[in-house]
Amino acid sequence: MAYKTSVYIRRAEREDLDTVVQWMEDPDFSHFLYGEATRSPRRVREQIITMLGRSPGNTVPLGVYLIIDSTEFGPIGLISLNNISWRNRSLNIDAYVGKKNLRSGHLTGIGFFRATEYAFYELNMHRVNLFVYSFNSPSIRLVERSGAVRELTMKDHIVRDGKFYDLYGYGLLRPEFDKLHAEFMSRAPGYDLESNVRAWEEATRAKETPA
Amino acid sequence: MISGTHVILRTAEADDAADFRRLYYPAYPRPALLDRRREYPFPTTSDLREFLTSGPKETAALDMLAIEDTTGIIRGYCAMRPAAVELSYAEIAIMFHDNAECASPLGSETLEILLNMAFTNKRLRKAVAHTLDQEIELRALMANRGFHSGGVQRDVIYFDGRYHDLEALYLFNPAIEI
Repeated sequence: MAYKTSVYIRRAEREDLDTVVQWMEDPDFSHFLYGEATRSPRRVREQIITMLGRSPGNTVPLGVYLIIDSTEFGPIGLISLNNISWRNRSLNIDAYVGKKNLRSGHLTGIGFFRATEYAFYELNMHRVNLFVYSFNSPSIRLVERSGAVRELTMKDHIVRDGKFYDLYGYGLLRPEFDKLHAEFMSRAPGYDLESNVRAWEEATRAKETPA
Repeated sequence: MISGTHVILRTAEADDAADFRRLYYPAYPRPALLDRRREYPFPTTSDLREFLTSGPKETAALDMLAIEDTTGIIRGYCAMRPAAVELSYAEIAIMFHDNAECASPLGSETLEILLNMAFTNKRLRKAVAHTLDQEIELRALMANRGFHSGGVQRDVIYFDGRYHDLEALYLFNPAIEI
């Protein structure tokens, strides 16, 4: 039996602007990721519009922004696949879960797994880089469960609230993810990205078709 | 200009572009010359002339200093760039045309001058450097000076038909209490 989940990833659209602005204005965003607390809402909005804007068809995108969406909870978080190097076949993944009550839950894990699957099996990457700060235990747990290996520990590398914290750099290589993916598929068939997209299409169609 | 016993460090200028280009061709990707996606540019001499005139733009390249020996011959380039103010660390890069120079007094004195710039002049907390898996002499130079390994990132850079690893090294300023 196929494994059904209410969580999907999709490209971020202009319609997501208000939600993403709200998330990025939250002090948690600059605490766990980056950005200055002093940024004006207008500056945040401009930055997001640039992020969500599509690049012309003849250029190679340097970043892809995905929304973790759920039929049950609505948009949950934002995943950014950035610094995409087509030569090295590598990219960085940054994730931010706007719905705070779902941060440690399995829905976030599914969204993250989907994004990793997309990076390896759609964008054909060889390596995914992940950077996490040492105080962010839920993210560390999530990243380590995804099979990524902690490769870097930069002592006292970033400052938050006047204190220095370590920066952890993780790397996940394609063969490692293949192994993990095969294991998941044997335990939960129909959990793959393709089935997920099909289920999403069905759900969308059902929503659009009047009863 | 900083004069030592074995080396003279001075700002690299537009006239050094042709010599600076030797770091790119036919050599290997030097970590300090990669952009933020860890990609290696293939600049022309005029690109480098502009770069050395106006400073780094999009790339993660640093403000370059030429390393001259006492006879005035350029043996390589180096750089020390403070990262963001609140992070209080410096990125350090040393690139000799011949990596064997790292094991010579030129290497150790260049590193000492850069650390002095970072720790004494700028009062930074930490120096960070990156070395490619094949930069054995440079890694040894850093390790001998007390740099610690922050870890090795696997398969980061692709060139010459295979992937290469990148190691991060760091050294805390002994004068600043951690």
